Amino acid sequence: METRSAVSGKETTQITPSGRGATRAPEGRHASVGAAAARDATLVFPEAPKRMSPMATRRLHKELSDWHLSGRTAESNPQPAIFLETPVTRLDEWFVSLRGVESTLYAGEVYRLRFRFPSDYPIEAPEVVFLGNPPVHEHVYSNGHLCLSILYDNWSPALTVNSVALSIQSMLSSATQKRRPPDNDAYVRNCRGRSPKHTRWLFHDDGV
Amino acid sequence: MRCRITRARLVAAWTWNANDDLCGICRLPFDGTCNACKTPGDDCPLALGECRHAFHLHCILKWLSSETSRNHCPLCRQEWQFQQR
Repeated sequence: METRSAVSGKETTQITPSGRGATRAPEGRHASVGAAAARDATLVFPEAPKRMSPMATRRLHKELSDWHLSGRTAESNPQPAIFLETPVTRLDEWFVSLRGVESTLYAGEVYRLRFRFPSDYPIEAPEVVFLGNPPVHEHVYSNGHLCLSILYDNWSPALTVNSVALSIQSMLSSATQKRRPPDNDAYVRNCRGRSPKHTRWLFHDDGV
Repeated sequence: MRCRITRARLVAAWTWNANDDLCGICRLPFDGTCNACKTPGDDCPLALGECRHAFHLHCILKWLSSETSRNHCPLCRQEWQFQQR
């Protein structure tokens, strides 16, 4: 059951998921979800920036409540391998942490991704970069940019923050050696401060 | 025996006939509206592609009009063709 109440003084909407599967369950949800959601901190929808289209705002609200309901936020216990850093304070900028999968080269390592959403998300792809120390991987530049076709030419509005994070995690998992892209230094020097969405990417292997 | 019906209250329910519950673009139920509309039903219909994937008509039109779509279905990436019935 969702209870909505306006927070006084602010234009935010609060949703307290109080469990028990009354909320419409998207695919893949199971019975324990109600309990997981109840453990989570209160979901507060941040105010949407003016530039956001209603489509982007509603879609991001939906995804945000899905993360909360499935118990994959920073407050969740046990901490999932991929979780959303909460509270989300800006609707157009999210941070997702992901942990390297056991028995892969990145086991035990934790990385942070920043998602920035354009005003017409999900028609247009979000900008996704690694923050801090990006993983050493053939498709990850040392400035955090990723060479991953679904973020650029092969974006589809059916992709979500969750499915993008999963793709990135599996891209790391399938690596057989840790090394930077061959053109790392030249690329990083060249694009200082620019968004990876302005890069013209060439995708060499579809397999990863 | 004959009977005469003096009063009847008819109730009808409708639902869209898609393979899925949610639109893959806006992630909202098909039986509701896309996220730009207010009234469900004929005002916010579904569109079915030749690939058998369904979306809210308004959602798929928005996607197809964007440059990134290159006229591909968001789910299977095949070229999008509206199914003719």
